Amino acid sequence: MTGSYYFALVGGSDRPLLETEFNQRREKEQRHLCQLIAHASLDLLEARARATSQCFLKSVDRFNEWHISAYLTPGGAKFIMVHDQINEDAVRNFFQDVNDIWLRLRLNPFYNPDGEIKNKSFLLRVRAIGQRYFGSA
Amino acid sequence: MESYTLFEYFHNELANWKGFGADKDEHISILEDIGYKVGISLCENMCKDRPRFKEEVDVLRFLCRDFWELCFRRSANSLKTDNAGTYVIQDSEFRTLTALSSGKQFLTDAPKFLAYPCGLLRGALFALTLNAHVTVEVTQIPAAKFKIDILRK
Repeated sequence: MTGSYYFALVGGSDRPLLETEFNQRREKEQRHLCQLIAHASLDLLEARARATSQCFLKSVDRFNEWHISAYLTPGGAKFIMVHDQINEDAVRNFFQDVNDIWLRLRLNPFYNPDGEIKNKSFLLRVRAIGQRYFGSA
Repeated sequence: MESYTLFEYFHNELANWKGFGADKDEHISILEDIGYKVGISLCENMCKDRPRFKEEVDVLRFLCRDFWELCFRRSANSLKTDNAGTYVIQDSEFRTLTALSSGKQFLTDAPKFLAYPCGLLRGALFALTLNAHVTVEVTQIPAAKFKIDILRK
């Protein structure tokens, strides 16, 4: 049974830059709930980040049946994953692959730091990475 | 006579380029903006495989050593702080100033050669999640004194 995953990419000034889901089974309401959960866990994320110099922060929070895992890049961008199944390896690999393409996006002179992501290639790649690790969308 | 890299020759010409027009402030702010964007990209790339920095002071130390080595081919001479968010970095032989002869003659032109490095530092700090004001003071070429004010959110 494949779990459902909601991924949010939050910029340095806590501004959401990207959100996407994989294997979403239930209704549309779920996306709003996941968005709320992800942003509510930002405080805990930052508290956890102060305690370690690792990038992958593993599980930072729980809400009912949802687990929240996070990854903080050296540049200050936060990757948040809200998921209902514990799958640390896949989530960690997903974060690392997204970090690679995120870095490439940051180096792109057409991308303004902390700005809205309009780069289609980046969005497609994020979806492809998710599909690779979390099964079919 | 030390050898310059391709970029350093280019930068020396760019800093003195008449094409910016007569407005000196605009000249300096354009160069600073370019330095800012380059600094962000450079720093992001440099730090991608390192563990994150915990303390502000660690970030500044990294700036004085590794970043300075990469950009200016030497380490900065000294780093001072007042522990309230202000840091002073001194470099007695700053790279972009070595082409100008020492003495008072070119002191007024020195800011043009320091705009891009200021931007680089500001960008590097931004890439490490610190917002800062970077200013620089030159009293004797080629020594430069950079003052960094970290802005609190």
